[in-house]
Amino acid sequence: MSDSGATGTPGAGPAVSRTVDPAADPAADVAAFFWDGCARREFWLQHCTSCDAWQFYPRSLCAHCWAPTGALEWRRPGGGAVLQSFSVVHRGSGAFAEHAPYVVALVRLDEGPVMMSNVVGDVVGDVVGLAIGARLELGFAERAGRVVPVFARAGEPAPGPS
Amino acid sequence: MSAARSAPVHIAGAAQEIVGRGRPAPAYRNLLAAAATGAVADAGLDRSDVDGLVLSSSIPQPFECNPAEVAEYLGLGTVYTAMAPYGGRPATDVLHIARSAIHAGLASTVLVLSADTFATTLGLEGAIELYMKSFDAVYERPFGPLIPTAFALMTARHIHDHGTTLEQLAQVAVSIRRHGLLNPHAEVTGELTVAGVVADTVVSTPLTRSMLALISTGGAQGFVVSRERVDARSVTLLGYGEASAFMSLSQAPSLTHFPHIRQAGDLALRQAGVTLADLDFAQFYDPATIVPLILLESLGFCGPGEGGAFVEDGALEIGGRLPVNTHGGTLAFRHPGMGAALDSVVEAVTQLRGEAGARQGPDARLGLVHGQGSWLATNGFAVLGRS
Repeated sequence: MSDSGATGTPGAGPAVSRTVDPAADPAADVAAFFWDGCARREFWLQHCTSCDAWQFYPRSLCAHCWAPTGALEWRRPGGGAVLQSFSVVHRGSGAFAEHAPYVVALVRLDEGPVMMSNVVGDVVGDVVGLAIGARLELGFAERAGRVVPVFARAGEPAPGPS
Repeated sequence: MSAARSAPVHIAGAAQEIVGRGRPAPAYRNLLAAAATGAVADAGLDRSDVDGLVLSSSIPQPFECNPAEVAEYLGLGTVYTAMAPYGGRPATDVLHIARSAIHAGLASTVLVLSADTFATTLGLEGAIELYMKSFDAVYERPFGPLIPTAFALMTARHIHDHGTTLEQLAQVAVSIRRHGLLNPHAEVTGELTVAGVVADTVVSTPLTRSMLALISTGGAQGFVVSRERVDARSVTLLGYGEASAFMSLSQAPSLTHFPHIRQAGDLALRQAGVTLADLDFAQFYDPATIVPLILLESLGFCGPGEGGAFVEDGALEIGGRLPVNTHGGTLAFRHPGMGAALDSVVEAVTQLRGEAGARQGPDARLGLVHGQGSWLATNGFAVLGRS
């Protein structure tokens, strides 16, 4: 792994004190980058050029190999995913009460990482046809003024503006 | 490791404050004070014997007061203090912190306290919303998971991978309800049936209301953890193991099999010098009925996917192969908040003392207590035995 000395790895010499300047670091706020992308209906995923792994959620380092921010590239994944598990929430609470029933899912992106999302486009509450292992496609939905990445079964009309 | 460092410590006293279903809990400090005086009296000690205090955070008031404030409120004078802060921790960790303080020579008689009042403070709906905030604010909460949804996602995958049935998941609730009905302080009444549990209101598929923990208005627990065995009612903390492997459910290596649970359990058992076969009972944190199945499988009581078959025919009931949650757990006794796993410790102490009355297990000499943070993200196991 490169850059280990600069991060003060034990045994690699004396600890190094560094001044961090968030303003000079384009990846300082990876969450803002991710959600700003979603607002433009673009899904950006981090890829590590050091170990060739993808990661979700976005981080300031590669959680696989500890490569620093500079080794992480933002790429647009293909949008395909597989349904790992899902649950139809019948009793939404707070801001979600009006959306119930809705599907909360864990989906494995074709690039590898797993994320939580919603599966839309099904008649929720009667989820005939939605099954673990189903092929899914990425889309976006707008909720309370915010655009969030969601998934629909592959082959159905991709979820678009709503 | 020297013999002195590894010497087991003892739970010399235990107390449990009962609030009752739907009744408003006393103020937080009143509950802590009652648990403190109760635990010290139960140990047959005097407050002047206490030279340490470990405070468990509660869910809505992680720093309502710091442990030094509590020690001062109780008039304990000069003591070692520590706090287990809020955040994905198994509540059983306070036993480990007390033991560590004793092993380090910081204290010899440690009061451990926990109190929760959150559904009193926030109401039921407020409590549910607060629990939802356990999910990652940036990448999970935008999708609306309830706490039950985390366990529902595990359940759905377990059903998919292993053919586990809703009836098997219901059987866990039926068995633990039977224990709760033997507990005079249980917050529920009436037998459950497998068919009734399956047909109950769905909260987050495939889990119905009866497959999920209660939400209680409050409660408290107190313990005296001591270097020395005080008397025959002292219970010995023979081992403690803990491990964490993720926090966000999307980062879990699997939704059905958790090697870090095995590691935490093995650490506790190895320290105690015992095996699973030696255990007379287990008190598992049971926020949803899938959790005991996963624990049985991950700890090695049965193979992967065999948890459903294990729980059939009342194996988890008193007199069965492995009595689980003899007090009724959070499914049938109460769920006061962070201290739910400490109710399990109180029950283990009560069983090992032979003082559990109608729900006393036969010849209970060795038990396992489980606590978890969030959704099996962090797990702590304590092995307790008769002294």
